Amino acid sequence: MSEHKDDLCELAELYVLGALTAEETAQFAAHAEACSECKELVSEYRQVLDHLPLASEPAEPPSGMKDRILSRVLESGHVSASAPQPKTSLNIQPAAERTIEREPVKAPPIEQGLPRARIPEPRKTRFWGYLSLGLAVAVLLLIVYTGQLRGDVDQLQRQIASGTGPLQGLKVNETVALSPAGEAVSAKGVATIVADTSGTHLVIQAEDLPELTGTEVYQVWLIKGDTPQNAGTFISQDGNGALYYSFDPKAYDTVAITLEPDDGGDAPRGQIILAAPIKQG
Amino acid sequence: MNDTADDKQLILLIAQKDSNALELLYDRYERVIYSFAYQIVKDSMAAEEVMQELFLRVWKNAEQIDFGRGKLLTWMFAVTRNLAIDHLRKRSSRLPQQSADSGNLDMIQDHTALTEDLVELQMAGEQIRDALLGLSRDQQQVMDMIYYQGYTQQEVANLAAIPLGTVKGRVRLAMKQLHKSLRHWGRRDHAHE
Repeated sequence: MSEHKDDLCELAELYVLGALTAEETAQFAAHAEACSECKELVSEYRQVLDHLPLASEPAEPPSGMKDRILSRVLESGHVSASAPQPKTSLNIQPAAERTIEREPVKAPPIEQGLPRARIPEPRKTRFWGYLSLGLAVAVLLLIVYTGQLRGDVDQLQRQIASGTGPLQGLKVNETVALSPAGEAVSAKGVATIVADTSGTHLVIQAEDLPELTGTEVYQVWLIKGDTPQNAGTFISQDGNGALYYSFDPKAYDTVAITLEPDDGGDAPRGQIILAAPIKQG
Repeated sequence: MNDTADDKQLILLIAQKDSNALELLYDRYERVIYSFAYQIVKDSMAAEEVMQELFLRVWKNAEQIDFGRGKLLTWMFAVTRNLAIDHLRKRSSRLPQQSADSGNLDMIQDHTALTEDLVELQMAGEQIRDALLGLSRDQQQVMDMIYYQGYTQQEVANLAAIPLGTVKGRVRLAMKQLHKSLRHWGRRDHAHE
């Protein structure tokens, strides 16, 4: 017990300097209440402590500091006039009445009682509700449309691949000789209908064709009864010409080549040069 | 009201929100308090912030201050030290100590009555500075860490890598030596009351 007491007595200087933990401080304060030596020491060291600030090297205050501080303090006083006053009593007693405090007094923080900034919540209006719904629908439609476009792109890519890739497993369904449509025409040709995995195709090959002039072109037709189907145009070179055309499998009865004034016709306008009956398309 | 009004009179006027009294009090102690704050924080902006907070508390709490002659300055010094060390802790991300530092510093009852005579204060300052310089290097180190930087004895032991008992011993010797050199001023201060 005596040893413990001596240990506590060793804390007098540290107590005054505030170098103890809260627990140590409480222990020493309780001890000093009953220890006259410690009480006396604390009183003496308190004098040292209170004079120590005067030992500071003189420092020159910054220019304008007084105006800044006083204006802020006075302004703050007006602003926080309604702020609750701190409960701490700042009672300074004569030296003769000094006692060692058990509960240290802590000055109130400056922020105490200051009003807090309030952030208003956004107003919820019917307009915003409709706008949100509209945006949601628009987003949904965009998603669907994007899906469709992606499908179209895939299909086009497949078509391109089929058009540019090597033909495989091509099978000839029918080959017919194209006969001149009149005695004045000495041209001749062959029409072949072939099929593979990608569909049915018409291959036209002709020679000894009359020379074209101006915008004239040769146009190929697949005919069913009286209804011709445009199968494309080609321009001959030295009397030779050819054409390749893919089409849906459908029954046609005639294939014909006409001499057209231009390549813009949907129906035959010119003279038939070559023609041949076919059995199937 | 004039420049000769003592601290108590000024505080009474400040309690009535007399801004001229606040300015007089400021003028009276600006240099000594600023020098003390600067000694701790070693930064002019931080020292100014400490000063501002101190005078804000004086302005707001003046009506609650009831003190004996000459004690306002010691109270302001104590609050200044408390604020300055808090600033150091924030700046260095040190955890606030659950120690007696801030509490003891704000204790009003135990403060010494310092003279209000600025010339005497200046002379006392020189005497104490000499006394501090008279301490050994080791004693100055622990006093600096505890008094000006707010470390606890355990933190000093850890940071300086010295035994706790050594910290206690150095502090004890330093305080005894300072007290011895200040005895003269202590008697003079008491003579004012």
